[in-house]
This record gives sequence, structure tokens and C-alpha cells, in this order.
Amino acid sequence: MSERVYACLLRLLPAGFRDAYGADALELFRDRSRDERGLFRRLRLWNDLLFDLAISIPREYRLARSTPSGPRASSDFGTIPSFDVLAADRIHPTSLLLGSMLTTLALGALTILSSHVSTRLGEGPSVSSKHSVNARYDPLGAVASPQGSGTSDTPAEKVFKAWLLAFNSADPSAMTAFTKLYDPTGKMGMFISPRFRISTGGFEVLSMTSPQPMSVHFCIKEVNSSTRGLGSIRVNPTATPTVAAFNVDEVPPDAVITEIKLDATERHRVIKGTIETLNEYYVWPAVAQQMAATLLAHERNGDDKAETDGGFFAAMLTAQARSVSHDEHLRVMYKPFKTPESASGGPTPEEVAHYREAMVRNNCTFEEVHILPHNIGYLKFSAFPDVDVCRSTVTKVMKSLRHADAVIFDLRDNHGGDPHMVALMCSYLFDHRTHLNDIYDRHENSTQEFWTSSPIPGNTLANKPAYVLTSADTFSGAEEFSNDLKNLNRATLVGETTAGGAHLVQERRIDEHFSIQVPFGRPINPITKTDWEGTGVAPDVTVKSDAALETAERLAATRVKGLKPESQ
Amino acid sequence: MPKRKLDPLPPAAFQILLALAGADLHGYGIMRQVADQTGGRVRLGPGTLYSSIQSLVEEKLIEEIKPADGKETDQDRRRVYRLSSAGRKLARNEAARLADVLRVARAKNILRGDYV
Repeated sequence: MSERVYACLLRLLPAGFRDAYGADALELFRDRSRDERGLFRRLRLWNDLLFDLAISIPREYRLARSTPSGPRASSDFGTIPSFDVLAADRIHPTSLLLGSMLTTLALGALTILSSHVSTRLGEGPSVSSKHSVNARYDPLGAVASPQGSGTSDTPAEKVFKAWLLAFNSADPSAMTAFTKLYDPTGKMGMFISPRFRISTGGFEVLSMTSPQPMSVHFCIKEVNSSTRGLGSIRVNPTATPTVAAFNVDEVPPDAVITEIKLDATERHRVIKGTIETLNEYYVWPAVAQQMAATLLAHERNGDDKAETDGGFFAAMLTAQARSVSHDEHLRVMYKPFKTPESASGGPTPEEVAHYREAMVRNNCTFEEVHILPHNIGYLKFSAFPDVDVCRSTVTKVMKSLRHADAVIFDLRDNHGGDPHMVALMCSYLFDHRTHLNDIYDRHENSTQEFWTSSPIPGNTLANKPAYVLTSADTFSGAEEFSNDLKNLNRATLVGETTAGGAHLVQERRIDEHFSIQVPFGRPINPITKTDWEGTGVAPDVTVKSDAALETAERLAATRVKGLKPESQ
Repeated sequence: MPKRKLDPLPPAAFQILLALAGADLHGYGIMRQVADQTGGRVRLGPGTLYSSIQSLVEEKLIEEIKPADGKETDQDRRRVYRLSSAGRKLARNEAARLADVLRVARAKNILRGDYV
């Protein structure tokens, strides 16, 4: 029966197409009917078929119409006004009527059935549950439908205020609701995480300006401390504005904010300074020259001309340079306050103190450290912070895992850091001094070797199974950690191929507002003699990053049980 | 009958080229392979499938394989398709183009992290 219905529906297609492929289409229908049994799969089959016909029929007629007319097209319709059927055999009016009726009926039935099924099975978003989400998450609801003075907000202001309400509410579900609605691509990072809300105590807005409807510049202050942050948010011009870029930089306590308006002279000076720095330090001299040529070409073309905003100009130069080098470590940076020129060229004592204080507050980025079932140690951290600042925290963390039978390092959200810290963390996995990595410095034309400092007194993890969780966001130093252990066969990498950023960077000053984070060095793995720039580090066990922990836990549990046959 | 356009390459056509990169398949085989390689996300309906096949055959990106003994029995009248070298090249170019898009998308993302 259903085959006959479909055969009838197929007659709605132009004869040319039907002659060529009608039998095949019917055959395919038979194959699917044979293989896809049961109510849900049947419904899906008919849904596919009707949807397919709804698209195919107009398209095939359009294509048939644009065909140079052959003998078939110039058929016997003559000059009589008629439907342009373009078919050898006319569609019988009853077929047309029957087809339309059946389609309508089937679609109607399908709609009713599918809503019935999805409600019953609890799958698919039902309208009522959506409402309850909004009703429960007050902060977001209030901003999603602004009242009073709020109605005059620009799209960027609307998103900014929604973020502030959700974040300051400290309600994880409000934050999730914000992310779902306004930040589906996750640009806000830790700025929409409950943990960061706890450590900051929330934010107060000190000032806010809207240079354009799609962007907001703001100055915020942490409730828990005197730390100020200066940032900008840019949103996409979509019906629901979504976050396109979000950036907050900490402002040193004594900094005086002086937003500047760029002119051609200043722009040229920044471009010139960028080029000089790249030519002197960038890890690949030939690529540095190509980037220089691109920056100058854009300047000559007047592409930079209209940009008077420092932050957006810096982003523009970054994008221009990256279009040639594809180097995600490279970044031109702007600060709306004057930065002093430190004598050493490195960070100022104030900056070091500030960094130290931030690391103490954030537990050196260790987000989770605990023991999972089967006595598997688990630690998640989002950076490899400076080894001098965080050595004691690392010692404490690793000590807390000393009775574990296996260890899982979660680097899925880790964006790298200090290679000395990479070496320190690796040291816990070896019982003897081991060569991990080399780093070549182009400017100095020198190579530094990195070795573990094993054995570490009191450490018991040196011979325990180790797993590293990776994602497409795992970046830089976190990729080195993965790469080192992978090539030494010391850990099993579980997850996705990493982001592919290998270069080492340092910040070089251009002037009192602009600086550049310039990639000056590259790692050389002592075993493979290569790095992972642009390619990433491939996992040993490929799974979606969401499933990596579960997979590694399973692997570790099996391994641990195998190692201890006497336990069940 | 050069009437169908494959520039830019529609997703369905690209999926079919990818499906045929592994093995010669008939229509239903292609549909199942595409469903497999997209994790069930793409199920090509007969209209879309054969319309794409028609375009690809016209552009000589895939070819219909004639039965070995030259005769078509009623039992085995399914048409089997094979990727041509032009089709393979086009699929490779499309994949390279998508890889470029991905790279740009990554580059636009604000990936922080100071490997210093």
C-alpha cells in the first residue's frame, strides 16, 4: 500500500527525471521500507520522503524549464494557455489532486504524531518546558524582555547587561541560560562560569560607552578586590544578538585610563613598530617578511584608514598578520592606559606581583582535583602557570593524588603557559631524569633543552598509568605536555586532535599603548624532531572531547583492575 | 544536457563524492554510506539523491558502471556508480577549501594562552 502511495507521489516529478530515475527511487523506497521498521523509523522515513519531494519537485521543474527545449518540451500544447508541464505524458488531474490531498493528510498526521511521540518520550523541546526555563531564571528573563528605559538599549548593551545580571546572580542555571541564548560559541569563557563568580564576587560597572550599536566598551571592578578590568564586547547583528568577541584586560591599580583616538601618523607608527619587531624576533624570518609586506599593502590600500579605535585597530593588524602566518600565538595588543617601559624589557615588578596575587586567588588554575571511582586520580587545570609562582601549589596538588592507582590530566580547556611548568608536571610521571623537549630561540639562535626533574621525593605516580584528555581547544603548552608524553609512550591521549599552536611568545613593547605578543621560538621534540604548529597533536584514542573523561575513566579502570588481579 | 550547476558544490553532492571515494555503490548504498559518514545527520531522500547523481554524471564526476557481461538481468538492475578521477580531484579541492574555512574560523576565535 505505502509503496503505491509513494509511486503516485513520484508521478508529481517531471517525466524526464521520472523516466531516468523513477524506478531507482522506488527501489530505494523498497530498500528503506524493508530495513526501517517500527513506528519511529517509519515516521522518519515518511518525513524524509515528503520533505525530499517538497524540495525536489519545484527544483526538478525549475531545472526542466531551463533545459534547452527538445522535442519533448515543444509538445502538443501549442498556443493554448496551460500549465507548463514539460513532460511527455501529462499529469492526470486526479493524480495531482490525490497527491496534494495525500501530502496534506500525511504531513498533518505526521505533525500530530511527532508532537505526540516527542511529548511521550520526553525528547525534543516542548513549548511548556521552554517557558518554565525562562520563568525560573529571572535575571535573564528580565533582560531578554527589557522594560522601561531598557527598551532603548543597543543590541550590545542588551547582551552586556544580560551577562552582568546572569553572572552576578551567581546562579549556574542563569549562566547556562545566558550562554544558550547569547553565547552559543562560548566566547565568554570563564566570564560566565560560577567558579569565577565565586572568586571575583561579581562585577560592578564603573563606566560603559557604546561607540557603535554592536559594541560596548566598559570598565568593571571586582566586588571582592580592587581589581579593575577594561574590556569590550561585540555582538553579531542577528535577530538575537550573539557574542562575536569579548575581551577583558586587568588594569594595573595606578593606571590612568586615557582612551586615544588614532590618526594616520599613530597608525603608521604602530605598523612600523610591529614590522620591526616581527623582523627581529618572529620565529620564521621569511614569514616575518611576508607579514610585513601584507601589513604595508593593507596600509597602502587604505584598509586601516577608518579605524580610530585602538582595540579594534590592534585586532585588525592581528588578523592581517595571521592571514599570512596562520599563527594563533601572534597578537597585536592595545591598552587604553599608558604602560611604563621597564628596564629589562620583561614584566614590571608590579605586573609580577599582580600575577602572583591572581594565581593565588585562582589556585594556580587548578579547577578540580579529586579521586574518581577505582582510585583514579583526576586533575583539571586551565593553564601551565609560572613555575616560580605556582611550584608549591603543584606540590600540594600532586601530593593529594599520591595514593592513586592511575592519573587523568584533563587539558581540554587548557591553553598553555610556562614550559618549565610543563616539565615540572611531567616530572611526576618518571623515576629518572628524562629529556622532554627542546626550544629553539630564533633571535638568540640558541636551543634550550627541557628535562624532567625526576625523581621527585615522595612521589608514587612515576609508574602509574597516565591519561591526558585533549580537545580542539587544547593549545600551546598543553599541547607540548600531550606531545612530550605521547612520544615517550608515557601517557594515553584521549579526545580530539589539539588546536595546533606550538610557538613560544614574548610581549614586546611598541609604544606606551601598543605591544605585540610575538612568537619568537619553536619547540623541537627530541624524538620526532618536529613540532605541532598548524597540525595539532593527534590523540591515541579519538573520541569527542565531551566523551573523553568517560572513555579515559573506563580505560583506566580496566587497566587498574588488570594490574591488581587480587582485587575483584 | 548541461543544465545543472555544481559550482559551488552543494553539500549533498560533496557527501556523495565522499561516499564513493571508498567503494563503488548503488543508490541505496550511497544513501546509507552518507548516513554513516555523517553520523545519521544527513539522510538523502530519493529526489535529492538521484538529482545529485544526475548532475554528477552529467559533469562526469561520477560514472555509471556497466554490468560486466553487458546484460542486465531483472534481478540485478541496480545502477552502480563509481567516482571518476575528476570527481576525486573536485572532492579533494572541496575538502581543502573547507579546511581553509576551518582554519580561518579557528584564527578568528580568541584563543588565549601564553606559551611563554
